[in-house]
Amino acid sequence: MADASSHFPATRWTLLQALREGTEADVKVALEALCKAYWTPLYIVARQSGLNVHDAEDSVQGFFESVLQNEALLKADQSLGKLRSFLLVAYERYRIKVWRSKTALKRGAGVEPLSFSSGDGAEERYLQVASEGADIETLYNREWARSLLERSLAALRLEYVSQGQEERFGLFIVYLTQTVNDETLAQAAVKNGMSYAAFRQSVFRMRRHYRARIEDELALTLGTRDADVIRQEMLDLFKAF
Amino acid sequence: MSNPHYNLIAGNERDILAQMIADEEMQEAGVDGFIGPYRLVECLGEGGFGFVWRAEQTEPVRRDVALKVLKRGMDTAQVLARFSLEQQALASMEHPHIAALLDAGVTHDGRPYFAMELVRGKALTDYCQDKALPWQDRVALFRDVCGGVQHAHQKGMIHRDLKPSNILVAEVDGKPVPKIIDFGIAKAMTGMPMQEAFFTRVGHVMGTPLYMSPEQLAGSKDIDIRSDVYALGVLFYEMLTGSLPYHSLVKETTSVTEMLRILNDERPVRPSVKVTETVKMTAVREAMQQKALKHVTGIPVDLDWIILKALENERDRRYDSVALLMADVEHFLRDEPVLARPPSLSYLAGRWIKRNRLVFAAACVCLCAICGGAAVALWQAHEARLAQRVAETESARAQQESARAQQAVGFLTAMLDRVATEIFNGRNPEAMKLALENSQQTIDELSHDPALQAELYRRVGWLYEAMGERKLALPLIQAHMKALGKIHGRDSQIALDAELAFLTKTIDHGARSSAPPLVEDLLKRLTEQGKGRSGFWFMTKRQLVRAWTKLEQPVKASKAAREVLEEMKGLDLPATTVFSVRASCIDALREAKEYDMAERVAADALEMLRDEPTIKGRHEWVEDKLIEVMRDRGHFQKAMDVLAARVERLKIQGGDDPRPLITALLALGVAASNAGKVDAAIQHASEAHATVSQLAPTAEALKTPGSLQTLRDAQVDALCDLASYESRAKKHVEAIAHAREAYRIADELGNVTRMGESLQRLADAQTQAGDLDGAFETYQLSSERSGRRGANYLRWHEDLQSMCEIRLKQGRAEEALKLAVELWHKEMESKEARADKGHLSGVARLGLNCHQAWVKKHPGETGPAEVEEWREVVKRR
Repeated sequence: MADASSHFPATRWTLLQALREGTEADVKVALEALCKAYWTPLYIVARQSGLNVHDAEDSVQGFFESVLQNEALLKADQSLGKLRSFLLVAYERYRIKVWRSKTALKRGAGVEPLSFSSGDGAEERYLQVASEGADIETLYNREWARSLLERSLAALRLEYVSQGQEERFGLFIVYLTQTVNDETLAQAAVKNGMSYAAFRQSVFRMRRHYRARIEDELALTLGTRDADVIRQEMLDLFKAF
Repeated sequence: MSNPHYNLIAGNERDILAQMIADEEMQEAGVDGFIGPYRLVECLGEGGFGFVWRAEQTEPVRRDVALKVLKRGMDTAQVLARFSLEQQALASMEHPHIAALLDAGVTHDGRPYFAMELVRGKALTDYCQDKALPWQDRVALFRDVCGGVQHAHQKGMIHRDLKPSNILVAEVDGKPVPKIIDFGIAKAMTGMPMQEAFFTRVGHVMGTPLYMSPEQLAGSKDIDIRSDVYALGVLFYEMLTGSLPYHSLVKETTSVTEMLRILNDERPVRPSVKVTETVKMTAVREAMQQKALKHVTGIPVDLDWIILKALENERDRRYDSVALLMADVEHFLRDEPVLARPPSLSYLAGRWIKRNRLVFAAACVCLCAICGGAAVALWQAHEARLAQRVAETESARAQQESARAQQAVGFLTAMLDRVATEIFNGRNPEAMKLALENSQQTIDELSHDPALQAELYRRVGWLYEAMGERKLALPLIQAHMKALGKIHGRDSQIALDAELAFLTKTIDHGARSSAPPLVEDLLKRLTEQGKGRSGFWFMTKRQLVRAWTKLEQPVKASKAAREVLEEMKGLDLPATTVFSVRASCIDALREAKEYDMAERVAADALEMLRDEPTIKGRHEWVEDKLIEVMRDRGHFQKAMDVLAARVERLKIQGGDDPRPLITALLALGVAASNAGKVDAAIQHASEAHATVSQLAPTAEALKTPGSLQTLRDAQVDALCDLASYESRAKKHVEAIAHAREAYRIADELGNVTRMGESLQRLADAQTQAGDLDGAFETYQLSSERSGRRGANYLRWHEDLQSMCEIRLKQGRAEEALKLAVELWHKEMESKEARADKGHLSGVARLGLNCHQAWVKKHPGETGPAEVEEWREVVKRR
């Protein structure tokens, strides 16, 4: 997972900017990041809409290939709403119109097919979420949020590892992903031979870093780092659970 | 999963995101983790208003508090001003079931916060569920909550936002102690956008203030303690049944308007029934809930009435205070009789009447007629009963009448109660019809009092008439005639009046071809009795003219008309008679295309109105007939002139009732549209709309139903007309907007007929504008609305048919064919539709067209089985 997506925060380019204005190499990386982020959420949509495993894979694959050639997406801007919602709508449209009439099987001429390895494990995810009994859009948003948190966490890990703090990461990570109160923190501090204040501060610092990585990821697809927009997106994702 | 972090994240997403959002809040709101004198410790939760923190207070005492920090966008100054007004009252509240509000202030980034007693507990309903409390314990908990609310009411505090998440249950010494939080906050935030962006756990309805009383939902400023009584009712309902009173009807997307409509239209299922249902229907995935509910089966019926009384829409019908509600709960706990009783049937009838205004406006006319002898407001009825008053001596008759009226009232009340019972048992509005059908048997058994029997036949007959059930009305009107014949003799004037009334109705909508011989027979009998060429004889002969006109026999109609006009000449007849006969002759002559003569007769009739005060007000009646003549012969401009003159006349007259003017303007619009002057039509319809809009829509005005109801109806009519003219003038945007507005109002009024009409106009406008998908959706909405209301099946079929045609037009043959099959099945289910062969073959033809288009796309495939049936039906025609 330490891959395409983590290249991007450095360049400060959003995915769409890269698609529109980047060099050929940028476009390729951007597309791969795009596909990685959205493959599983869309796969779940496909399965939940009644496609079988093969058809769902083909359909999502076909969708991303059509994205490659699709001018509309490249021209997509803020006015179309968030990329997340836009892709869901675009995919639904694709699935109904293109996939059903089976023209999706005609592979794009002259375009080098990408390998979308993100398909691995998608079915496993689907089976996990399918029983949650929510509507398609909610499932999609949940899966997207889940993968967002994962990618951010991977990026966070990379950050710690690159500073030689892999152990530290392993120590505090549990406190990132669950609500902690004073008592648990105090106990953990004692167990690790640290003062309560120092331990608490480390957890909070790591959480701040995690939040920064999440913001990076969000900025990629939102096309902005505006604090209000990012906060709203987090609230929206929160509401999916 | 290839990703090692998956397990850390899965299942924790909500917490992670909440933490992230909260961290940011903390950074922004607090300075070094402090808000005011409070150190933030942990985030306890979040709601539509903002976040709740556990915080630590060090000065003056060291204690933990709950700190509620409001979202941005609240008007801080206003909130705090309101809060300080209440502070004294708040400070005086001391009750074991109320969490004390300690303090309020402003964060450094300018947001209001409230500090209150920290309660470590679960939301009330969650607690009941998790502990699987038996209902007895739930009732006891509820009584405690009432105690808290009552205490606050005594201190002059209304909560305004009672809901499970505002009532936390903590365990003290192993015993559950509920505590109400947030007292005083809702009041302080009045007018703040707190209804927006509620975000609660999945499964809870979002953004819908489900615990609010109807008056709060409607945005009334006049909120009193009875709003809390209502919220407690909802709460109690949920505690006992595990779901909300209107659970199945309210969706996430339900708007406040829709919610108000549901409250107005529906009654909640009684809690005891609800629990039984839920247990029966619960699916496996709700097994947990089922387990919890097992403990609440067998809720005593008395609790139903307590809850339903608290849940009354009109606050006057609720408990006047929480004290009374609590007293009733205590009575119940002590097995004493409770105050609350099932809503009386007559009250339920009232609710039903409110919902079915159209039918009942008419039905009430009948009731009024019984009670006070007021004339039925229908011209025909008036005519039929003219002679009735002459027969017997005044006093004896008056006595008999009043005794009879009393019995009739009693009978009809019982009948309406029966209707109400049907409704109460959840049956459809057909209940009215059913009850009337049953009542007919009761009337048949009343042979010991033939006079009452006769009267009731007439009343129920008119009731059917008013409901539009004309085929059912006729036998009763006939029975009325026969009963009177038996009592007074067939040739008594009273029986003759009834006979004429029956003939009139037969011609209007009965077996019309049988009418002319019946009328001829009556005429002959009258002549034999020496009543030839009397007023009554002419009124009878008039029916012959009407019969031939209605039977579309223009030659016979015009012959009869010329005859009767000739016969009247030189006789000294009552003006009303001459006038009525002339009016009917206009129609006959128009049918026969003898336009000049028709216009002459109309002119004569209008001339009469100048010096015959008795029949004033009938001017428009004849004028309308004249306009029809002009329209039929293509003299649209003349029709416009007549109507324009009428508009002028009405404008000069002024007067309190604007409806005649609005009707005239709309008629003028129609005439202009016929004349091809679309712009003029738009102008007149706009004027009608402007006139009615000035008068109609304020909420205040809606309080007096009678007249204003129809004003609002007129508003819908004006908008509908306007939309269709604009559509013709290719002003699509305006047309669609006006049709939508018409629908909005019709929907608000709950007027099914006009809802259908306005949706039809909307769909037309959309079709004209080329928005076929939009039109399709509109038809779909229309079919859902009428389907849901259980009324007007024909309309439903039409909608489906239109949807099918659109898909066919769009070349979406698969969908079209599917709709055609669905439509066909609907038709087959309906007895009326099956009987209407012409209609049926039309539907079959549409089906075949769809099939044809489908075959083109699917060569070699076999279509649905219905195709054969369609071929058969079309061939038979």
